[in-house]
Amino acid sequence: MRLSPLDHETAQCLNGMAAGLEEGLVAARIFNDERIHRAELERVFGRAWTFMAHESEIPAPGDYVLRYIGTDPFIVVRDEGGTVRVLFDACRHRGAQVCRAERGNASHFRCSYHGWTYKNTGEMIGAPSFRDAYPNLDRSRWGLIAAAKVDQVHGFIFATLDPDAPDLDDYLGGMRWYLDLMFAINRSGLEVVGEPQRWNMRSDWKSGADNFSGDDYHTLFLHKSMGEIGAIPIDARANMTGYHIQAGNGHCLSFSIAESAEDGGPTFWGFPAGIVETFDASAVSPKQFDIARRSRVAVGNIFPNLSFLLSPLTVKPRTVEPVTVFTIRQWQPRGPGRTEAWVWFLTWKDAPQADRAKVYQAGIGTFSAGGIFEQDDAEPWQSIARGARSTVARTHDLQLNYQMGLGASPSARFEPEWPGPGVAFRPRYEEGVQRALYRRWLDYMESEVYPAPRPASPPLAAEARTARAHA
Amino acid sequence: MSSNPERSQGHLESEQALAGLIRDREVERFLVYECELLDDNRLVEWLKVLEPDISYRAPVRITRERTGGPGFSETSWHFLEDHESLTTRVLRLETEYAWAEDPPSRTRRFVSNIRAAQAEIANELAVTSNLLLYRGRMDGPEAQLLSCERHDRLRCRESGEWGLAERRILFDHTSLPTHNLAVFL
Amino acid sequence: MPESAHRPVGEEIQIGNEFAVVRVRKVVTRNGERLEIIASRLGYSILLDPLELEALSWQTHDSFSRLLSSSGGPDHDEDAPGDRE
Repeated sequence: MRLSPLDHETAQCLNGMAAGLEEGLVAARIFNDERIHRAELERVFGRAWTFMAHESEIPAPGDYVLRYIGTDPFIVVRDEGGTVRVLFDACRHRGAQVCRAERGNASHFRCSYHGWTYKNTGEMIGAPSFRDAYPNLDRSRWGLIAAAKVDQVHGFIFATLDPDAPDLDDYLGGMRWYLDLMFAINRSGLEVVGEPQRWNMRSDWKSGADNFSGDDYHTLFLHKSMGEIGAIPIDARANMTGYHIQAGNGHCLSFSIAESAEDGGPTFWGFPAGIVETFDASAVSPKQFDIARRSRVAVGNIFPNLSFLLSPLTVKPRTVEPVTVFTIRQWQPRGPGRTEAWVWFLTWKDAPQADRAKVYQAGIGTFSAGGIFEQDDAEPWQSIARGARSTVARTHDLQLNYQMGLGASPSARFEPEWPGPGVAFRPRYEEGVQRALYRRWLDYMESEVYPAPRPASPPLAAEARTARAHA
Repeated sequence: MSSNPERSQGHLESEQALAGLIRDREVERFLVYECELLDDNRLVEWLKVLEPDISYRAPVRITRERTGGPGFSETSWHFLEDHESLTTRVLRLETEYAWAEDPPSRTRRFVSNIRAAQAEIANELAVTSNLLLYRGRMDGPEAQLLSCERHDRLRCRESGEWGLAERRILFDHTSLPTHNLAVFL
Repeated sequence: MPESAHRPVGEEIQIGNEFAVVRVRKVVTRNGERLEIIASRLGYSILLDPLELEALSWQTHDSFSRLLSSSGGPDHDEDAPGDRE
């Protein structure tokens, strides 16, 4: 794998950022810069583990969907033996697109240009008039390019293009514990409902990842209308009770969580009794089960760009009780200051049909292109990208304030007793989760070799920090 | 009245043709009025032209090979609305915190290619129309264009006015060329 | 087999993906029956008898990879071409 060298201006910008992050500063220009975007495509998306599809989208042998790593098109297919393959969608002959339907089923793929044909494992098996045209071709060298590694966790299929990348479990690190507590709890597992919804914003992918890493603060203001109309059964201020968790390696979560399960309000993210009965305490540890039981809302981001939300919501507050919406969203980079959002809704495999329809309507009505929460998010995100490409952002090295939670009297306390991996802060008035995202982003952007793991580290004591600053 | 059967038949046919013309004109007037309400941001009035049992949906669309059909999903939606959920949307836009449409978009809806036919229920019509939605926002010159076909069901109310009982929005897009769907089609 | 020697019965089934579309139907002859497979895009068809179909059922997908190695239709000096439509 060969990385293009960083240009001087980008290297300088990144160089200043590590020190800046210690002070809670993030350079505005990173949200809309052509050279940073190109470097991200190689250094972040070319090396990290990217979400491709959920296994329930390709259940049968031959099932495939077309997805992207960064801006690169890939075929995500289950071969006849049941193995999931992630294959670069470019014929080895002239580079033409092989699969052109966004979804299909095929045992073999035949390129429409000259007819080069591949098994759905990616192996090349022939071409028209093969013996006349290619008497000497060694087919084994001309298969579709495969992702270096493919793996899955709870049915979520990830892939990486970098053979030096750690295995998926190591990459996820502490985040794995939280994914288990959310998704292992029902042994029948999850499935996706239908096709993903896709829409396009003139904003940076990092704004989405930033928001879902634990920006609950904006729910007080941007989403104030939600409280006014009763779409979410939790008061916005009370919702700030909870924990921000840096799970390590740039993965972060945010839980709105009751002090005790008897506090009133939703438990198990508001799943109804019928679903909660299917939760198996023996499938997770007692600590995980306890967190699940006290959880109201869970939000998070798997580095780099796969976010998720678990929350009780309703679009018909007068007649329909909130139901638990479970959505994942991928913020795909499409260019500097351009993002394509992909959104999926999931249900438990054993959820009754009647429940699914209500859940889907609540999800689409709140978190989608037309969702009454999500439609407001695009506004500030787009204006962030507008400011980021400004001359001022570059010539004045405009720095943004990511300082919430820092300082002598922090607005959130480090919680050493938190039972899960990583570091946790409470309440949620803090931005350490975003700083952790950008720190990991910096690791990928600056490192010529695969970045070493970055475990979440507890904050230094104020005195020790002052001592180090003066050393 | 003429006793000539050909003349009676001709009379009947022209009566039917006239009734069809009047019906088409009424349908066009209704759809144009509905567009006016939306373009003028008169959303509470727009809710009033919707029937209480309205089904308002827009399926997600993906690219399929020609023999695989037009690619509309049967399980994924951009809109999956009824009267109550549409009312929630409108009420929200009327709060002071609905930033998606505050400042409001400048929209212009172009409805055309209107085809109306009698539905199997006596007081209902099946109506197909094209819609092009032009949408400008803020102070930039860029604008969005959303294109779709709408399959509607119009119902004649006791007042003689038409109401919208059903709308199925069939986008000409797979990945939507818009930053949100905060407007109605 | 001459055209007049068989006639179709029942519904035609179409199975397609982005790479191929075939139509399949049962045909009866004076003394028996076969399965007709028509691949109109490349212009081939074949009438398979039950024993041939049984042989198909115990193949693997790899067998078909071998058949597809000349992926635009049969090589001129290989298998005898199927009946052209």
